[in-house]
Amino acid sequence: MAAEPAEAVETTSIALFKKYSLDDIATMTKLKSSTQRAIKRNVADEFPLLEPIVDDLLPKGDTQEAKGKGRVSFVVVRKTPIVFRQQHGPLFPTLRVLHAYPTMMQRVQVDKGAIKFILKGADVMCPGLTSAGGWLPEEDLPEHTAVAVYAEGKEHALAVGQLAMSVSEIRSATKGIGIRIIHYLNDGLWRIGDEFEL
Amino acid sequence: MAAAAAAAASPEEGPAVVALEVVYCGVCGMPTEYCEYGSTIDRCEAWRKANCPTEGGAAAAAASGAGDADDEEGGAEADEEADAKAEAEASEAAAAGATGKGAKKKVGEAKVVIQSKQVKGRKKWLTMVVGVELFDVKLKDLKKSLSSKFAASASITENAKGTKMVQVGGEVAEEAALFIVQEYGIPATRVFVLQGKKAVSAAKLEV
Repeated sequence: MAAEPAEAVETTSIALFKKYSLDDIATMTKLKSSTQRAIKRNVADEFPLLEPIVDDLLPKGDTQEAKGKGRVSFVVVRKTPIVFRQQHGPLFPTLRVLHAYPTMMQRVQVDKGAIKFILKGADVMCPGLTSAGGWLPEEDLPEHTAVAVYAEGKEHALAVGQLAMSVSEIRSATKGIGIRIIHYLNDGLWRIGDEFEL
Repeated sequence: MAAAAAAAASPEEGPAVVALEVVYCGVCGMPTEYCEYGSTIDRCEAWRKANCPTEGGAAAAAASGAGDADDEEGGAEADEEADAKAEAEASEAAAAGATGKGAKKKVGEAKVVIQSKQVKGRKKWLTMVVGVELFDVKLKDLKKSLSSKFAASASITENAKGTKMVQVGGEVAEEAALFIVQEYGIPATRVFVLQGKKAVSAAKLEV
């Protein structure tokens, strides 16, 4: 962990969890209660919507931290990963958590054509967001914001990712990567599901 | 699911924090509306019909919500059948792919997959044998004979998916493959050794 230069807030790996399995998890430790409180506060700060239920989401005594390949750390509750972050990157919920609380994050929508590529772990290109089927928030979110990726005609999120440029830049750009996909349906982390233990 | 639809319409919906239940497909594991993007769409569709007829699947994504309460009579029988089928398929798939790596291989043909791997961070190897039970070999017998053959400890374990396998100490995948072919009469063409990402048939291993 040491000696590496501190990274920018961007989560680096592309399709970080494309191939991820329990073999890639290095350590899993029970957290002391003060750290658990800190994490809870973190989650509540990051996702204000979850604040009322953060005690249920991260019950005292059952919260563990796991670290794995790609310098990712996960917060795991009873074998279910809840949130994760990569080094200094933003905090992301796992998709199952996002499905349960769909309004917890800023959301964007891609058009139909983009779905199959995202489900293979590709990043979202700008046209997929600016075309008729896509949707971007009114507000100009800055680069690196964590977003939930929804799809045209679908009800549930299919990925979480991080803006590679600000929303206004995406609107004016005609090509290039708009969102870096971090975690998507049926990637390695998704498949681990609630069997997260060493 | 009406709540979710509402949420989709207006992302900044009110503060009621209730966990939403999402129906995940029993075959591909994704929310049912994404089944159409998986590789198992036919089986997904069958599963969906049997298990949750009210849920909008790939085909019915647009029509969901139209016929809600009427479809409750799907019946326990159909349910059970579908479950059994799904289970059978799942176990086959699991047996075919040792640790998920072989999963993309064709499902349905019985095969034995053997893989050696290093125990994390230590100079210790484990060899895993998956799928022998499809050839009527008792795991317990195999465990015993592998154990004595390699003078190493062996055990029967389950992976996260519930696939049973025999684990032997040592990096002995190739030897084990030949041994299994000889000892249990499993055709060499049906025994594979995973070397990194490649699966090598035992028939090509002959010393």
